[in-house]
Amino acid sequence: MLDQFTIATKGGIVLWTKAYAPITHRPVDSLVQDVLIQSTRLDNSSNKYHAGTYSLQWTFANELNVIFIAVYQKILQLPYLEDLLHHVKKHFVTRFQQEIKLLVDSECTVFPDFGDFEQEFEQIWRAVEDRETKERIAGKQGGVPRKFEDTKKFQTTAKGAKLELEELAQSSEMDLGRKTGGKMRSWNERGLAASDDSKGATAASKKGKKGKKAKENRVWDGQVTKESMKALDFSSEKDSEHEGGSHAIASLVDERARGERTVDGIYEVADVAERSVSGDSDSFVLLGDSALDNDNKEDSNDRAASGGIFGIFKSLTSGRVLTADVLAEPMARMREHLANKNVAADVAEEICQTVARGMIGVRVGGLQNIRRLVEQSMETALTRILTPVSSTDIIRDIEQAQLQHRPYTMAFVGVNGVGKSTNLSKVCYWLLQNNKRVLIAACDTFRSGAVEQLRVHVRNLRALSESNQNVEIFERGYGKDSATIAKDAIAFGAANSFDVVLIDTAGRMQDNEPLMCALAKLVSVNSPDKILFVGEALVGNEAVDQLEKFNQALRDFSGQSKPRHIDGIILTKFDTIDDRVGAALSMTYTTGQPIIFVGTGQTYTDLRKMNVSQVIRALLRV
Amino acid sequence: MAEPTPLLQTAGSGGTGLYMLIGTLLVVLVGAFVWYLLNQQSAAISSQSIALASGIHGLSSAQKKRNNAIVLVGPMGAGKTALWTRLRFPDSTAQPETQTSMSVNAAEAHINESNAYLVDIPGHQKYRLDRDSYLPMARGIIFVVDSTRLSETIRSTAELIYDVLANAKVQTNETPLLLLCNKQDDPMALSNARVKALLEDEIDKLRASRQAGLDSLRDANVAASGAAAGDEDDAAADERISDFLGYDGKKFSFEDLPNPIQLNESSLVLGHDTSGLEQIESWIADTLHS
Repeated sequence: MLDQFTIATKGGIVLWTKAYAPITHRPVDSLVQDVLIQSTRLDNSSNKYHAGTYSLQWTFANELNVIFIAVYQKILQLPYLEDLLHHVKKHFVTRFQQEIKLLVDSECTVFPDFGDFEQEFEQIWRAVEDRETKERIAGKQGGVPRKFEDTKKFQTTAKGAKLELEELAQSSEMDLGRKTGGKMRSWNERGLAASDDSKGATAASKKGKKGKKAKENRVWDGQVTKESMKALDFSSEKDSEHEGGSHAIASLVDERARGERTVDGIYEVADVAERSVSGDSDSFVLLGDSALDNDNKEDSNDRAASGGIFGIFKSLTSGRVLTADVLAEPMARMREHLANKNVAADVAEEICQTVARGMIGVRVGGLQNIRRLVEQSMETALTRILTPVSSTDIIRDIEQAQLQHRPYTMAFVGVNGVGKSTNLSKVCYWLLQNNKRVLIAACDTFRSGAVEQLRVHVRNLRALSESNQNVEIFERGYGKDSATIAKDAIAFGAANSFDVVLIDTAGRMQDNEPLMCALAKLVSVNSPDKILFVGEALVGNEAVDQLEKFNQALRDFSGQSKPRHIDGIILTKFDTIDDRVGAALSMTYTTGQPIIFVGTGQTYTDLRKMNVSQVIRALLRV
Repeated sequence: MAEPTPLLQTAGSGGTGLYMLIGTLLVVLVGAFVWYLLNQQSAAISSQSIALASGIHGLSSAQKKRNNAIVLVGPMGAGKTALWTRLRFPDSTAQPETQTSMSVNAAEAHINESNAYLVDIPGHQKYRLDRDSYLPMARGIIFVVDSTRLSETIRSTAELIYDVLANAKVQTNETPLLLLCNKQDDPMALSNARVKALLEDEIDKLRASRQAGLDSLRDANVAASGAAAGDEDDAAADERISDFLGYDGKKFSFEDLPNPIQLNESSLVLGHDTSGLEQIESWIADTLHS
């Protein structure tokens, strides 16, 4: 079933590996590169990754810096793999702990041998597999089949419905206390029965269906029946109504959410309830290594049991192991801090979880400040996220395209009003300063004045550059299809030896399906070299949604086998935020693509390169 | 009769008071000493375990004082971790396989009667900042290159070696660099001279495009926090100024740099000639002794 099982250090040294079938294209390397280093968001929350024809599952042993990877065919489903990984980890760690520590010890000059593990591994695998098959068989034949009374089908039969009604009648009798007669129910009755309304209505309707309909007097317009008069009479005071009344009124106010009355008698509304942290620590326990947590809990229990002061002294000297509950509080504070800096909520959540997962099981000295450690690891994680993976050297890319005798095309996409046209002209100015010939394609055929705006920019840029011939606009007016305009523009650019073609598109909301379709068509017809998403730095949680939907639309509506996605981000209006640079982090985390340009104003020179260390500093500064 | 006794008492208490004072001082000193010891030990434990675990990487002050660090850098899949294990475990007959690294390997190794602190930094771009933190204290840099795939990856490889050579500290320290053309066992491998020529061409083009690049984001846009920010800014500006390698107007050549640069061929596959490995070891020994 398994094709390969590998145990390696995080530094890349393979400690033990067993291949049951020849492996092609090195799936482990792609796992490490795509998932573990880049920590891109996995589509499902499980630790599963697909590479070519293989699926991979993995687990970490953080305190020893070791990773366990299982490789198997994608078409298979191996439910016992998580169990297998867990047990293999436990056995390997307990058996080879000393050898692993020797790897960092300078006195050791011979690589330790881990070959003995093979036998143990086979045993564990067989045991896990057997247990799983036994459970599966037991599950299928398990016990007595359900009684007919317990199935859903019974409930739709006459007998089943009757039973259900009886049950409902019993429960509703206690609440209502009387029959619901008459067509109109009084306000009190309605208020009372509000919670049981659905039950009462269904019960009544079912009763109505089952029993014979009694003959009712016809009610003409303008006439009022005796029953309805009674129902409309709100003046009478009945005892039962009184109770019912207070009951109904009480349901309108939630006592727990009541505010306070100040000394002056002014009623102040209660504050927004704080998110409880307990739920998050539960999720940590689920995420983290449960076995290790159990071990750690045992350790800490032992320590605590061995005497108060002595236990403290012991933990001071030999250090303690980080567990999920120890990390829960500093992590919650860090998450709040990130949210204050305008990082999107789920992005902050995921980053904190990843960092916590990497710290669980690490032993720290007794006097070490946990918060300092959390901050340090957070800094490393954030730096790793923000550091660009691919080159952001546009000039070099343009020269590459020049060698191939074709213009380099860049498309600017984004939602309405983020600054696409403004930043397009800034980029154009920068390219002109580097002596490139630029053609601006006005593919925003929807918004009034879009083409005129670009015409004004081109006029200004011509005035600012030495030669008038270096920048031109290619436009076909309004109302035409933007994909064809872009295609003609690129052909024009190639024919007239332009170095760069900048494509300005119309702003569109990410939910607008026809417009996203049109954008995907533009991308697939023209395949620009760089698709730049323009996003403003002011955006918060919206950034994640925008980017995800844009990428998804490009993927779904492209109609190609290898669809394009967003290649880079331009972060605009950076001068309007002071410290709250969280949008940079949210955007980079969501796409994994670097921020190529940062727009810091409204003049042509207000274009900057992204400085990762500065953004990190601003993010972590209080 | 009541008077002498109080005098005696005060005289007696004066003596005990002195003892008490000395006693408390001693206790305080011992306590401070114990506290200091515990602090050191806890820091040691943390840094050891954190060095073992990945992801948390602040160089402790002890690590910064090292003067025998040899840093292995290069693109992914070049063979840095393989070289690291060969140098670390020279007596092993069975060398372990390696895969893509996701954390730094750092340990002491005995090489030709000298102790070298070998640092193997993963080739993935995400570890750029780890690289930048280790380069300032490096006594020597080994830049490992995959000779079989150099033509396809020339741009990223050249950018990498440019970043290494343009690092401010590497320039001021004139750190020696060993350019290792690895995987020579493959018949498609390029020779030393070819690798040198390709890299020099590419760096030449990179110089120009880097100069044409945009200014980096200034602290003025982000709320400044005083002098510290200003200092960092100046450092960044200085880095930009010294970003240009070689001489302006003249095509880039490795000889233009103040750093002593040597090129070697190697093949780290077991069974093939290990002469490359001996040359590397002698280079390391020479670098550490100079």
